Amino acid sequence: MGGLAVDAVKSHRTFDTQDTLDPQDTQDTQDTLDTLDTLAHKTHKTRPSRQPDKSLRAGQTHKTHKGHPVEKHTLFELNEYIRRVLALNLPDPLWISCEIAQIGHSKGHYYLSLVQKNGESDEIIARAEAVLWQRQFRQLQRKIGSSLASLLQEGMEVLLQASVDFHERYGFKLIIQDIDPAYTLGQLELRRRKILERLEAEQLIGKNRRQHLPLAVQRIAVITSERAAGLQDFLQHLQENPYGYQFDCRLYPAAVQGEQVSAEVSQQLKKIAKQRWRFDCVAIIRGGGARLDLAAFDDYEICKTVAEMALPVLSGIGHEVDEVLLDKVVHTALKTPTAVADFIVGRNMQFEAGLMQMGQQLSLLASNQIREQAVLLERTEQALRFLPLQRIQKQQLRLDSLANEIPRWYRQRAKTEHQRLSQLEQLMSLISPEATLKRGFSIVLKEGKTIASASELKAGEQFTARFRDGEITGEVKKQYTSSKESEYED
Amino acid sequence: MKINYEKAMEELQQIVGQLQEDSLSVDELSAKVKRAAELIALCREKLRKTEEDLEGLFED
Repeated sequence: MGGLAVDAVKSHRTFDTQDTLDPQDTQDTQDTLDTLDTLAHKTHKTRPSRQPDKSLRAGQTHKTHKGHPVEKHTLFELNEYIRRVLALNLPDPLWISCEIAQIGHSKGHYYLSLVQKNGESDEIIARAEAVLWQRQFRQLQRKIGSSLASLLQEGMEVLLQASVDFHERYGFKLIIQDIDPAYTLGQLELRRRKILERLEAEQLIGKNRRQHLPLAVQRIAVITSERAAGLQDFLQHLQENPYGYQFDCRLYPAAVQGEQVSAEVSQQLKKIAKQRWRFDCVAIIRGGGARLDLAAFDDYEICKTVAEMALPVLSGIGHEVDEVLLDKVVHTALKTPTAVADFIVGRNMQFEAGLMQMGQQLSLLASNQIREQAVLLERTEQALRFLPLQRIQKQQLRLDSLANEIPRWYRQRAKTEHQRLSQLEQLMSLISPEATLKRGFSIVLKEGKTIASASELKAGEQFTARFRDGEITGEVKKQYTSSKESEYED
Repeated sequence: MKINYEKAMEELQQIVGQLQEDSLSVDELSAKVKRAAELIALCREKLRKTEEDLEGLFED
């Protein structure tokens, strides 16, 4: 399509009209008109049905202050001439690439201010006014569909098919016949890639992903248009969740289509950021739309604001295939508002399921512990039943053994005493008078008493001598005592 | 009688230990065993109550 546009401009240039009509041209008026005249003749030859240069030929001769004779024309004559020149030379509509600088509409007609900027400096190097009549607009709407509204936005790069119109009173104007959305898509794609590179370079991609999204999401700041189709779906889906979760959604209205999207969404994000403690997350949503409708979400500013947002941002910009750049910088990108609602409900459900599982684990662990303690108590109780009895039994055994011990000890003692006694007896028997008699000694008795000294008996006294085998009785005839004995006697 | 489960259990174990080691005199035996029986009843009651409290806590 771009090629077509260039071709049209080239063919335009072969007529040299642009150079000639340039107001900065140094040639004087006469020369200009002459050239125009020649031009008109030339075109006349190719298009004989037209009636060119009538007014200019009829111009009056007039002398300038320098004395040169010149032809004089009225403004109308000039403009009428220009109109004819343009009509003859540019009879067919041309494809023109340009940017829409301004657009307004009135009574179904669209009035556009078209510009071309210098690629590097952004300086405007060409400007023209254009109109899209209501009839044409409707025709285009049938052909292009809802994308048309997206195309007709300030700042859009467009490829227009327009016929060049010049009116004596209203001047130069382009009458738009057709618009090629593919061209704009291509331009947008180029711009999109550049912005993506910039976002990557500035490490804005994945930045919002690092914001903590709570395990249970309940307080949601919703950015969308109040009239957006997706808003009702989103709210309804949240409200009708089967688990009975409650949600606190606060709407921050912003345009979701057109030139204002970036500014309004960014502004609302900043507003939300100031009271971020009130929210768990931000949801930017809008219903489905054609690719061109979503172009606003490829904007650098909106992406940067979202990436640097102090809350996690969820996106549900209704689309089927392509993702918008916004989807690359958000915490989590979903396809539609409904999908965002599902995501939030699902996340909450997961959280609750986790809690329930933990509860079950807790209750299992607790009952295990109770069971353990119960077993321990049981064992302790058994020990307490058994151990004191054991202790008493042991004491009893000790008493019993003592009871056994005592008689035994006693008997032992008695035996020992007996033995000692018999030993004494034996000893006694060895030293007894009977034993002495048996060994051949005899005992002398006086009046039944033992006599141990010769001095105890006097001559004439009766005594008895006892022997082993009997006694004899005798009378003392004479008494002898040894000196020793007498000493002893003294 | 304000005594927690932990302390009660500790005292119980101590009494059982003394019984196992035969370090209790016969004179203090009945008093100690009586005390142990009290502690066991107390612990039982506490366990039962805890179980009751936990029951159905995670049902909804």
